[in-house]
Amino acid sequence: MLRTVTSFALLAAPLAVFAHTDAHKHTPEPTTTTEVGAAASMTWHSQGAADSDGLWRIPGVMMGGHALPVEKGGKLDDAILWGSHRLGERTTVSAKAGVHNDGSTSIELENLTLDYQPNTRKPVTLSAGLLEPAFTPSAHHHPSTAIFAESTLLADAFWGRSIHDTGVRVTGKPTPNTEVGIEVWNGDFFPASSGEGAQDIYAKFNHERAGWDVSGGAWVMQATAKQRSDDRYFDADHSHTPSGVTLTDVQFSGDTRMAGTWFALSAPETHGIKAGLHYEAAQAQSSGTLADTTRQASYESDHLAYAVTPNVAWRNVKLSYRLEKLSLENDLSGNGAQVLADAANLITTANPKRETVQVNWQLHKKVGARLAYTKDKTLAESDNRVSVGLVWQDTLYKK
Amino acid sequence: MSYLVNVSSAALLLGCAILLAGCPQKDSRTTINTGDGTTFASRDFNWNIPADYPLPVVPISNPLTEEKFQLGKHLFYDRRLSGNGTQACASCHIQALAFSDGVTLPLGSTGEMHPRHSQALVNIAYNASVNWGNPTTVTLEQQAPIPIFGEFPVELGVNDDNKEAVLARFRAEPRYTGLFSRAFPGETDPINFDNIIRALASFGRGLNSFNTPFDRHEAGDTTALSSSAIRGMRLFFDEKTECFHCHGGLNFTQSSFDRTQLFAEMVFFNNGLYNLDGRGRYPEGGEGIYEITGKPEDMGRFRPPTLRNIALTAPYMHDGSIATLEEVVRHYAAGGRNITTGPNAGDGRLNPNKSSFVRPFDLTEQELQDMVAFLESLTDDDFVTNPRFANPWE
Repeated sequence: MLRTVTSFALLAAPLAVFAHTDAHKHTPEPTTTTEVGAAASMTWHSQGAADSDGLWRIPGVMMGGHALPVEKGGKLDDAILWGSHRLGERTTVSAKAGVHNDGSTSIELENLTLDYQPNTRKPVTLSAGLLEPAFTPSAHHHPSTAIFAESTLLADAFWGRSIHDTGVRVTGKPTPNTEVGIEVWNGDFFPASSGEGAQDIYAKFNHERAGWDVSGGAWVMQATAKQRSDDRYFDADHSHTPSGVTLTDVQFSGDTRMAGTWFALSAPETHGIKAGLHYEAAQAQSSGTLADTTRQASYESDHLAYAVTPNVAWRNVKLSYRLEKLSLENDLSGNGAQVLADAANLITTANPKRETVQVNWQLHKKVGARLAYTKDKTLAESDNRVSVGLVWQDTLYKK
Repeated sequence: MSYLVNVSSAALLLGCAILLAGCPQKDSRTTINTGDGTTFASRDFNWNIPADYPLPVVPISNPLTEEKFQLGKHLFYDRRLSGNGTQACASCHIQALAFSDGVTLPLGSTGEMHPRHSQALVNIAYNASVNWGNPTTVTLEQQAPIPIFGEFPVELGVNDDNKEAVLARFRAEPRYTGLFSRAFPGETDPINFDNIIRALASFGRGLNSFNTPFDRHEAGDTTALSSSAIRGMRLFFDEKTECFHCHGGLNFTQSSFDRTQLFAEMVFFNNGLYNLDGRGRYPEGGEGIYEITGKPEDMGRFRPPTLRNIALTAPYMHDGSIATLEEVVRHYAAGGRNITTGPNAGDGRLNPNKSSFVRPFDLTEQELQDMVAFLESLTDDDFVTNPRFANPWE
């Protein structure tokens, strides 16, 4: 716990003067009764991110969720449709459904939330249903609504790219520029396992002054897992690897504690030029056991991740550079430790790193293009890649 | 002025980015503690097992020593261990054939036919259960007396009437005096059957084979396997063929136990060889673990053997009823065997006790040859010619 607190303090230090806008929430403005929107993204990649066996398993970290690699060639990244409707003065229902390039081809309901704002002195919102988390904007990634088509390594490694889960959330606004919240989840997302649960607490704020816009937040999460497999490649006791490579299903049981901080800062616009900076860092510590059908080992991990993204925009063109790094410490003990560490791909001395330079070009009010070059060092042998994509966003109905 | 604001803003943000790019950062590392160091590191005995492979379990009642291994090797190749002096263990376990014998069903020292095909003795120290169809025989110390003293069938044919005579032969052999005394120091009369069994188990525990083209491929030698064998390997580990579900792991059998495991997973499968009565019956004398458990669903369930050196151990199956590797692959591709005539007629493909992993799959002739090429890549030439395992009496 002490390590967590110390690390959290380290992570939070840059936050001292910063804070946020909640770009991912699709709740209507107070004057809007109903709103429906849609977005889609498609990208062509010159190379895929997976290893030669078709797998994307970053050495040193157990992965899961929706953190699947980009593939060579062109594909639809996602297509989403969302809407919200104000049922009354204090109640709003919102929903989001979409298709993601995550191995499934069916439309998935990602969000169905009922928000209720009781009559309190300070604004309070109670939310329940199938929620998207609010503790950090990167907890749910949609290529069609994000600057980058690829989510952050941090999100991929720590919570399997996107979280959608049944839960409840209570948020309060002690001041107009701040928000605190607590979220309680069923646990249907990596690194938790279904029914075991997860909880998070967060605080965030935003502030504008003299053209400077700062937003940020800090959060802590605890997730519990019981016999959690890498559900990207395992279904029951079968491995589903693209090249037919057999994997051992190494399952984790135990707790994961995470803490993180993020901020976004943009400078005043002058002569059409606007500079910005986004930063996010998090720490994840797991403690528990790894097991296959007959082996077991104690497992402790301490992982750090961060992403720094400076950008500069001129008219309808935005140039961004994103630097991402992971540092991964793992300790295994017990007779099965060596075999399980091998099977779970946990043996590493490398710090996975990824750098992306990207140009976003807003072609039209509703259509944007992006061109990215990614230097990928997440695997022992990774190919760099060029990516070209189109993004479409539209408000289909608003009343 | 506004230009200066712009430049200073950009400089501030860039400075922040550079500052943040340097932290937080620690070097990645993985530490592994396997306990007392005997799981992988202990190599005080010449195991013939690569350093990064886990060691098999050795019973505390029979610590493994080189002296016991050497004594066991002499006994293994010695015909004097049979009641009538005509057969040795090596009579049915020939090194050149990966310690199998190449015949369908072997004959014991008195001429009685064994209902089971002679097993290859390859990496038997790892076996979760030791013989074809008996879940209660889990150590080599339990197994070794069976061919020596067994009556149904008679193998080496040692019994109450001749066992003293057998021991007398060993006492009369000068080489054994030193071999027994070194293997069991401190014992006043070490030449006895308890020690013979311990020594034979120790020799068997040392018969390990991990030096195949497949192992070299796994170690990074890209030239070790032919392209055909690589294609066959992919098929072998594919959900289409399901082979690896029963023949997985470092030993190519699910019935494997080493020091990294909490418990042994003893597995037995019915692979659809027979179906005499339409309800899953197997020929008498070859009914698998049903002979021990009496449970109808256990009819025809046998332990999946290791596939290491499988190309040397024809014929195949518990009764040697399939002659070649190619036929074995065809058997699995068909999802079992349909025998249309004779006393064993019946459609094994419809055996109700058949494993769900044995189901028909399409295989081209090229794919079939690829799978055979892969199975042939599991041959360890060093193992079958290594003087360490050879007849010491020659």
